[in-house]
Amino acid sequence: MTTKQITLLAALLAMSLVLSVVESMLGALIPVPIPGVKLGLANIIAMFILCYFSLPSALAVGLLRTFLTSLFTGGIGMFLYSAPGAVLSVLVMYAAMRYLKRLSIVGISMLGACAHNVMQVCVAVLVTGEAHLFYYAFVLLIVGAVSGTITGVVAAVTFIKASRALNILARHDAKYVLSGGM
Amino acid sequence: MKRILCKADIALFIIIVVIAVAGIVWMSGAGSAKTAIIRVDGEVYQQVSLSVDQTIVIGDVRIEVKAGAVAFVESDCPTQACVKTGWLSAPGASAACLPNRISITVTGDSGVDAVAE
Repeated sequence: MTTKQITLLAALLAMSLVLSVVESMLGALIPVPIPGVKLGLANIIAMFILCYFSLPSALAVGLLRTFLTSLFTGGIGMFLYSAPGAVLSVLVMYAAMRYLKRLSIVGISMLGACAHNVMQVCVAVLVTGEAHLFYYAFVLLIVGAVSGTITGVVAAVTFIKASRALNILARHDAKYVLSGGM
Repeated sequence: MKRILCKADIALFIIIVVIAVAGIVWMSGAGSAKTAIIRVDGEVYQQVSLSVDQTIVIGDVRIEVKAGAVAFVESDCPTQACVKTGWLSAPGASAACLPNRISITVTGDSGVDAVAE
């Protein structure tokens, strides 16, 4: 890994932290009727790292982001609650980029958001032992599809410009994704 | 400017929504087995399903189950606090008539009170 890559990843981690914190502030400003509904803005950064860096980098940045955000907002309990979602979402998006080459970045983003939401419900079910909370996973699936579309469109509009400005190349797996699917 | 959304994205969106709606319908059918526990003097007097409309009379107190909810509808107590509590349907909700020492608690299908979100 070059110094340029390490520096860029650190800057991206800082950006994803800002997005997470801004998002939690937005959540307090605009009350939503369903708890757990988030835009998932930090997922944009996770997708960027998956497209231009590697899976281990995306996992490391995702884990560090959830750890540091939990220190800013809710404490270490929040980390245990959100880290599995962040990890699963990165893994699902990576697999989708490799194997579902018909999808564009918007579809990848939807899958990532849904994986994140479903995993959070699974953690909640494990913690409380209440199996009927799974009901909620289906509600958050729809939320994930909508919020994933929004963040995916942001990614589609910004990624190519950002990569040109930073002078970095996409991984070959991500080329289909960035060019709007096959 | 390249297309942002492709056909596969739209198909994926529809698939996710269909799975979610099917899941919600399926879970709401299976998970609505709520019951109310009626206690007198702290002892369980009767456990009633909220899916069956019925009326339970204990002394001068009348409890009704209607459309998935339960309530004290009549009582001889002076404050009428139990009747004013109204209809209960959420797991964990409860109402009590202290002068008659009767209480109602709604439980979910697992028999454990739901944890507040």
